[in-house]
Amino acid sequence: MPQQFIGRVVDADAVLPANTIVRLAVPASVAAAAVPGQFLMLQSGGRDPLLPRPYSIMRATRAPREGEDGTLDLLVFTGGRGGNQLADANAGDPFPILGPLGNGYLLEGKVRRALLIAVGHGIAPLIALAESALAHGVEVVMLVGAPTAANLLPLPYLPEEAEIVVATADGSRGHHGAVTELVPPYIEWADAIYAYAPEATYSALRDTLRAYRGARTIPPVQAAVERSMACGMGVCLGCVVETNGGLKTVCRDGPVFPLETLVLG
Amino acid sequence: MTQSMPGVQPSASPSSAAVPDLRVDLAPNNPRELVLQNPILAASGTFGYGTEYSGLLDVQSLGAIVSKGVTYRRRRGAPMPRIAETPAGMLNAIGLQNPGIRGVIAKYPPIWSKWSVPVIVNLAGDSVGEFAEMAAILDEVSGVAGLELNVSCPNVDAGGMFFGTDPDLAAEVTAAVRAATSLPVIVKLTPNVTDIVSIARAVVDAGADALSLINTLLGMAIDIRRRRPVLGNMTGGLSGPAVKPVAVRMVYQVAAAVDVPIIGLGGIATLEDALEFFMAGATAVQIGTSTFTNPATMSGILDGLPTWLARQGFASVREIVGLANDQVLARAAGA
Repeated sequence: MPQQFIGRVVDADAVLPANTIVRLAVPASVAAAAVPGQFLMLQSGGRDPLLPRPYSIMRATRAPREGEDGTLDLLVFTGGRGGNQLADANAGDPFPILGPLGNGYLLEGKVRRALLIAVGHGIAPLIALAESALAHGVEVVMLVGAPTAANLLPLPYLPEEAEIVVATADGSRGHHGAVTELVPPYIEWADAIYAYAPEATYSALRDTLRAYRGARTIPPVQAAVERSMACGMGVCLGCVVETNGGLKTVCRDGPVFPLETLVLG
Repeated sequence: MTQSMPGVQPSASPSSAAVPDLRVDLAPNNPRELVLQNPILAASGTFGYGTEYSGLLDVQSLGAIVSKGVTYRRRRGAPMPRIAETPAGMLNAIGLQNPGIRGVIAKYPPIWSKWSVPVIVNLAGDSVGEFAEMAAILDEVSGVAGLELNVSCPNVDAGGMFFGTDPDLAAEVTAAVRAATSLPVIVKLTPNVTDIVSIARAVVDAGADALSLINTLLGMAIDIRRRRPVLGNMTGGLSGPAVKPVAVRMVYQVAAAVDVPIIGLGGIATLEDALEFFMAGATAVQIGTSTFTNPATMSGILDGLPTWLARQGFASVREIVGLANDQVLARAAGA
């Protein structure tokens, strides 16, 4: 159940030219309830910008002691209206927040080897998922895609125990090409795949998995869909996605969907 | 100067310094009445079917809930993208995505009938006959307190705003619905007309119990990078604080011209915004886009309204209706 609450900036780390990691102090119940893949609607204006912005939760840290706040880390894009206000805020500045919202990733107990595929700022919720999986003793491989090396989060920001494999479109780091080209060797390894990427990447991922001719069952894919949103509550119907069960709201029915249910262009 | 209100008995004398009376009657000429415990309504398309926000705010504390627009058959709605933020506003072209009237009736009225808060169903037909048929279907559905006729949706090809831009057609729809149901009928007007007063007069003469205005203003945003309109539907309806002055002006003009309750909406985000609408001549207000900005907007206005009224010496919210509108005051004085 989402709550309306005030998050206060603890600190901000300008990790990349266009991205800042903002840590917010939030009610302990919010930090405890947050599931990887869930998001917040964070209000940084009220008139301008008018609408709250959706942010995936990059890390939720429970309150250290009863009566204290928990924290949530967000990966904030600073190039647009809204994100810049948050990234430039001072410690203690309050932001009205609604959340946690949506249905996050489901990490089933039988999963022992998880393949995570992140493109762009999709890395944020997958850091949360990787940390949760590692804490449960799950082996994690993260495939990380970006246009160029300068867009990649520095390695120290990624979970230490996860294996990280990078692909850049311009070849400036790691594999020269699409992140989905890294997938085939892991199809037989992974029990499950968790992704946060543009829909074009999901089309390529689906094609890659369909091309697999081995003996093992193709691992199920949980894929998060990104949309601009107004309400975050499933009422404005501004963020719908086509599924084989009809139109679904990304904010309330998602953002995580089984890949096989998504109708991709 | 308290406006006469057949459906509402005075709850206390002004001298008793009681909590101000927030009740309003949106259908004083209709035997089925539409008396609300307060004049703060959730606007169509911004509150789903009333259930979605129930974990976040006390929906029962609202004056009424207006449902998402319902069509006769299910609709998939407009292509993505459907929303675009603009300065102090947003454009939307959702295109009336909804499960159709049978789908809505199967799911929601059983819930609504257990609520004390009235639910008004927003109807969007694509013909006069479809409006009338939907009204007839809902006439005896338990849990439905009234109808709001959406003759003003800018985002659908057939029907929608088309009915609301022609006085004769708007009147024809209203009369057909009036004949099909005894439920209170509110007609929601579009601002995308040259003379909203002529439309308002036509639908009141045709039997509308109340009017709500304004629906969204037709607009467009261009993505300069893609060199294309942002919205999949190309055009969309503008809402939010940006439209408030237009809405206040239209409520003022219509309130001066017709003698039925007016529900004002368009960019209301604060108590002060709502008070502007009351003083322009609105008997009640709807909150829409601001619920997205802050889901507690309606609760905040509801908390502040009685305090403001008491501090200003008003015993009832009805006393401030039209305070800034000489023609409304003159009519009330003559009544």
